[in-house]
Amino acid sequence: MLKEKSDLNRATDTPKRFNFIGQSVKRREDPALLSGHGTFIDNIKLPNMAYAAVLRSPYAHAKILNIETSEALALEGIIGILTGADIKNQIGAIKPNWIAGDIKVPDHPALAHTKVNYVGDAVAFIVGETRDVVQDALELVEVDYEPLDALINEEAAADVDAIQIHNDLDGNKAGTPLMAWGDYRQAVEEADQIVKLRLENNRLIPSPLEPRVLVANVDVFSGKTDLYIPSQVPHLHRRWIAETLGWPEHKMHLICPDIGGGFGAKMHLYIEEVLVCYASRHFGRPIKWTESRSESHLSTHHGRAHTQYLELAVKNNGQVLGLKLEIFANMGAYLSNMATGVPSVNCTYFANGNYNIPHYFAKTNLMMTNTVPVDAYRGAGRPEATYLIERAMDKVAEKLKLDPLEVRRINVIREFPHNFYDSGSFLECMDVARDRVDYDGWRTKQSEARKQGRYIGIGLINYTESCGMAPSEVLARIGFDRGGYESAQIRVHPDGKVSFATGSMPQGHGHATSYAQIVASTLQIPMEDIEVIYGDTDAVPMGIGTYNSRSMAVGGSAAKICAKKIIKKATKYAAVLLKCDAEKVTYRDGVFTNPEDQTPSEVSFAKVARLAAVPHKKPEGETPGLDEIYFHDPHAMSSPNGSHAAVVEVDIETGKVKILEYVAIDDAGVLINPMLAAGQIHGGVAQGIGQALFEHVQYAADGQLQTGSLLDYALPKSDMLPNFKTEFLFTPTKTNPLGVKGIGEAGTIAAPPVIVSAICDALKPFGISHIDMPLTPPRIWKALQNATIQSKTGEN
Amino acid sequence: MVPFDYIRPKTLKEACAALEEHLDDAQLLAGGHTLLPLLKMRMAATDILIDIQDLSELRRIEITEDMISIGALTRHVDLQKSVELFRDWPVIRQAAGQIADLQVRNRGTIGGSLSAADPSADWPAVALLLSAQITLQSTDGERTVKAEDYFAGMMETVRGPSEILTKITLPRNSNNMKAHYHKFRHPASGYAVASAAVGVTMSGNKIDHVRIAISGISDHAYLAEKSTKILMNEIPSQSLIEEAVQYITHDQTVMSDQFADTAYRAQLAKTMCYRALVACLADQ
Repeated sequence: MLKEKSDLNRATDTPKRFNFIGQSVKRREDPALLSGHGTFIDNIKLPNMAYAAVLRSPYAHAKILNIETSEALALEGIIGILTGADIKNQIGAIKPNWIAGDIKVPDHPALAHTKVNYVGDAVAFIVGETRDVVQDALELVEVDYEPLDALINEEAAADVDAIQIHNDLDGNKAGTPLMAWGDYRQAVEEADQIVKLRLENNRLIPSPLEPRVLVANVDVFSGKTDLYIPSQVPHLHRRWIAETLGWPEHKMHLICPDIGGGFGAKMHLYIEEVLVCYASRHFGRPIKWTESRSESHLSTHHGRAHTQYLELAVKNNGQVLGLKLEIFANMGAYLSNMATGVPSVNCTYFANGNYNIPHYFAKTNLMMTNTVPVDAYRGAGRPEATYLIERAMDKVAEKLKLDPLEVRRINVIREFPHNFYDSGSFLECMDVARDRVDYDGWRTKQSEARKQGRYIGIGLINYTESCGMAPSEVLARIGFDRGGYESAQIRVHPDGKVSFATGSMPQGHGHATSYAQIVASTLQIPMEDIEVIYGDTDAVPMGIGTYNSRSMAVGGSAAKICAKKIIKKATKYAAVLLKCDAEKVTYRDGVFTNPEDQTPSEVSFAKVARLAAVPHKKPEGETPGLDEIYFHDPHAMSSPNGSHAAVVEVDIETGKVKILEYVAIDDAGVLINPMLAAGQIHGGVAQGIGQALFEHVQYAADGQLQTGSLLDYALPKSDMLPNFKTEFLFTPTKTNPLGVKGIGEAGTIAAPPVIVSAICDALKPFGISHIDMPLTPPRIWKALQNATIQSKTGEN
Repeated sequence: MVPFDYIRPKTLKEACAALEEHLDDAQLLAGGHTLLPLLKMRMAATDILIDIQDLSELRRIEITEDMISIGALTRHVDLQKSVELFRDWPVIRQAAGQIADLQVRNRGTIGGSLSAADPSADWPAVALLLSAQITLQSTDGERTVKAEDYFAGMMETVRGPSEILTKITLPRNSNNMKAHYHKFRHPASGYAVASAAVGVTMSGNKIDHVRIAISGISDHAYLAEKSTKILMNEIPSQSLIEEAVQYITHDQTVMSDQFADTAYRAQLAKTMCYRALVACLADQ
């Protein structure tokens, strides 16, 4: 059956000469990147360029009494300093783009002028001649603060006695969106047991290799602004920056060269983006701002940060009748771009995971705290959803003394479409994963190892997610102020070569390769004939961007449809050359053919392109040229799924975990480039293991960030990770013409629950059923100490 | 980075003279893997940087009939790869291979590490284990300090402001001591949360000589004397080793940080020492 499905990955039944869909074509991007010739913004130098630095609050919560800049301004090389008072009526508030329901938005000025609300909150923007001088000036600006008590934890922020951070937000709640289906009360009545859990989903720092960086250059004569920005969403950024500054959009030109990773952190409006444009116009200079790594920890948005309470109504046979969920989602000090929707939509809409749970109720408390704002980070809500339901499945199994896979099998969704899921291979993936990891074999090894005092654990989890954010009407219903479409533009040059432009934006994904595969396959011409253009708002028709694993599903579909339109028009021009009716012309392998075999009987795509560009003869009623533009707004999203399995061994003397095996079985429908898809799994799983085992943002009680650098914040490194075994199933979606689903976030969604599940399985003999992430060696050792002490006390 | 003056002497004599002239206003730069990040983050600043990388006389390993001399500028990677060192002291290769990552091992130096005296660094424990002698040079001449007397506190040594650490001298392994270095790495920094450098010499079925040096636990690396006494002249057994490691942090103020508190750190010290002892005995 597997083989049969993989056949679906081929676009056509009879092989065509130029069909690149489903082929592991090597990345076109790599020769430049691997030889150190990428174009990254910090390497860009404009003539007469100045440098900027942001003065940040050292307090988590404090009143600003006075800001004294005279000493800093006197420093040789300082051009000027902007404070909150200077920009108050010039730059609007930083506003969220997603307002998921009845939500109050606290004021977020680009520079704080009365109060700072987190360590890292921006107070002044300093511009000078060199990188060093603006750093020196940071130490010379004197700010009088009156420190206030700080709130860090999302649950503590909900206490009745808690201080209030924003005047207009009672109880520090921005809102409490609800989600429900069925009737949970009925599930409780019918249930044999109620299973309860409390989970923490740890706060993470996205940590792209390249921190944020900007170069702005305002031409004072034309008013045209060039902004070099590593944006996942160039056209959205253009709109947000223009709206916040009150500047016209046609004068804004955003350029995104190579981007060193984004993971969601480069798709939100940040204060520096408006300030650098404003300062460039104000001081009449091109200005560069580069974030350092430790500054990134204090100012680039964090991810996750939930405390979750779950209640499951279950039958004794393992069937889950109902799920009740309450989330405390830490928003940080201000509502960032997508912050309210990540927990309340992306998490709660999919919290049933791969399982049929007829009754459901969820409440999300959107809590303000004195911490870095929290927003979408690779997976964005789906990791939090998958983690909670998969931990719940293990808990149900433990309570009912059933095999965890059996509980999953009883509840797994088998028929599609189902609620938010269009299609899937939920059961098949689980079976394949079970087989590939040798689940039964490891169970035997596990019991043998325990006799020798070694603790091996096996985990197997299922995930699904909704990918390809669309359509626009649905986004409107959930309060998301953006379109759900993507743009494609194909320009056919007189020699038959093609420039293809997309509004989606790679940050290391390989769009120059994968889009060329789609366009070349549809136009049936060589990949070398396709140039892929992105990351320039003057060169690319208005698009949305790359997030939510949407580029191939939405942008790729736009590319395919756009290319098909070109062939349709080109066929008419070909008919002129072939001297026959357009309906009779066939097209294959880059050649138009007149089956009635007149002379000439064949004409190439390039010849047709030349005629269309030099249209001395035109088809009846046709315009010159073959260029097409197309905006694809899909009617629905799609649901990739998969099952990941892990085998771990826990060193009970140190608490250290060794991952012995990691198996990823994923189904993202048709794969354009299986090698790139496998690469996405590798990277995503690495980050997911990071969340499960290593990464942990820690704040002191006074709001100081204790994990302020990579010496304290542990990212997974290659020598800390196992070899991954990846394999794909192929269940194409009908929601788009390529049959593709998303793959970019699967790894970060699947890895945390499977690693935690495997570790807790290993620790079962000690009576340990759950440890909150990250499962660091000291946390595991502490849990073992407590368990040992408890069992000893129990014996007495 | 706060701007500074930069001096790059060609000889040890020039370097000593430059240091004598500027004393506390100057910092010595060797491999740069401790100092440069601090300068870049503005957590350290200096008026003058004396870059000693051209002092090739300090980058060599010399082995005589009874001594091994390691120049202070010898890089971690050189120590890891040296076949001559490996023949006498395989533990040096074992420890060098566990330092940070490839990039740091390619640039960082043993003299730099011993001068920085980070409480969680690897070489201090190895230097203590191998009874190293540390040579310090100034314009006034040279003096030699035992490793036991060299470390003075948290990132502090007895090196004076005008002195340059020039070489580390070790005895040859004439008694065929079996030694092992076991380390628990901090998942972010790669430094030792706890590490044990242990050496054992047997006489018949009894432990003739044992030396245990611990890093990562206290404000500087130390020799675990009480544990050593328990093991000395005894027939090794599991219960004996278990008893000995109970005292591994005896008389020490155990550090704590946001990753590891004192209880967990002490547990790691015990475990690393236990495992290193078992490995040493298995080699006999």
